Amino acid sequence: MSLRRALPFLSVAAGLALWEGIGRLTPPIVFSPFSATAWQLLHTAALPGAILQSLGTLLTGFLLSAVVALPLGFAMGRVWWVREMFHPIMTGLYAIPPVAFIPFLIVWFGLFVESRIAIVVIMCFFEMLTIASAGAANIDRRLQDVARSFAASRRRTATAVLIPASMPFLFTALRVGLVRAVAGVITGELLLSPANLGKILLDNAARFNTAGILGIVATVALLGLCVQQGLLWLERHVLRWERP
Amino acid sequence: MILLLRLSGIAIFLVLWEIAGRSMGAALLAPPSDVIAELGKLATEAQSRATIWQSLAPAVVGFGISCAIGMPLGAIMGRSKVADALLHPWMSLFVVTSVAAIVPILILMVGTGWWFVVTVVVLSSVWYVVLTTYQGAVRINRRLLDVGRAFGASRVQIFRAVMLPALFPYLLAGARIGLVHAIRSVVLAQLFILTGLGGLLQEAGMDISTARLLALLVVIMGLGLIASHGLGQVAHWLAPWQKTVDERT
Repeated sequence: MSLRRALPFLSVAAGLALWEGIGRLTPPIVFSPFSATAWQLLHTAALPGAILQSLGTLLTGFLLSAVVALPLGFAMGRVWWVREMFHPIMTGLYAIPPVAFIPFLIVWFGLFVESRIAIVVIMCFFEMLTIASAGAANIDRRLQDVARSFAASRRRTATAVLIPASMPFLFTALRVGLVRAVAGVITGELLLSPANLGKILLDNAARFNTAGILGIVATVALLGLCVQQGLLWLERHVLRWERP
Repeated sequence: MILLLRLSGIAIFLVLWEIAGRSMGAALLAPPSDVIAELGKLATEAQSRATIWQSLAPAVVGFGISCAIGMPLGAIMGRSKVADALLHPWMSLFVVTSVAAIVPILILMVGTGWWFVVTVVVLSSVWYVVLTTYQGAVRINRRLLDVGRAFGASRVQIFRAVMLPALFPYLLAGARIGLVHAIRSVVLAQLFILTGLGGLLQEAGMDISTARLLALLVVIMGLGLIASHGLGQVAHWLAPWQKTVDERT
């Protein structure tokens, strides 16, 4: 048992060692070892500020998106005519890759922070919408039937049944959306006018500083992982009753 | 009635778009009537047609590679505890990593040729294929495997007769998600190096009118819809008895 617990950590350690090994064997322009990357990262003075700025864009876009996507998704899941009316359009819009909107966003919002927020909004909107609508449609009918048998008022049904039953999928929607938002931020910072993390990344790429590039890539990956694990942790604490 | 509602949804959307487009002007938002005209023009340009077709090739090749790697890997992870423990941390790391962040270093590594696009496609779609197949492999009913074992089936026989049919819907769901991500990432990769669809989008972005841009978005939307619904149809045709799985596992 303890060995199996240790395996993921061993795997991560082995992966880092492999990274170090490959990095040392290949020329530094192509790939750089883990140690050089970490060193480079620690010596990037602009990093904390850039992360904070990126997080600001991320949260703004994410919240704007969630405020529209979650209620709309919920309504699409609960009210049949809303679903039938919105579903075809949403399916169509969802089929367009978010990055394809970038030239359009430039026309509308320019190259700077408004545009980056917009790409974050688009990146996480449809994921949250679909999850919220699927979740709302699948709320256990028996729970609602119980509420009806006890002649609960609409308000009481909502507070005692619908809201608690929605918590799990709302959390899932937020988690998936937030991970997408991380991707959205870095996409915007690279493809629009370079800023924050994207700017550091492109500056390093222009100087063929592979260690610097890998450092930012690792930062973005860790950011995504932290966001995901953080929300999973929050979910486990808030939704104690859902735990098996 | 339902059809009517759906059509009315689309109709209301188009009318609102038309009104918004007319009042804002084509420079900000071209109305659908302009976009349809532009679509017609796009269809007659041999050059643009060829570019769009050529953009699909790396998506298909990358998607094929993703399936070839991702499906066996996901199945192994789902059936072997050791493989799962070893690989899962990496999978969860890679699936949350935005491909856009890897693009600059990929350009240094593989250049900006055809294979660059394929690499981006593989790196963005393979994780979804792996994780969906994994979900399926974990959920294979133990009792089915036990029946196989009780009848003395060999490992190969169990794989072919029990595991593969049980995995089938998940393989297809994985393929669908993978294909959607493949198309998305082709556009992403091409926007970085400004070729193919990305190049067309960039060019259209420079136009005074947004009609061409919106027409291209409609084309990309069509491709995406055909890809995901096409695979759904193929699935239904190959295995009509299978329920499709929820794609968001």
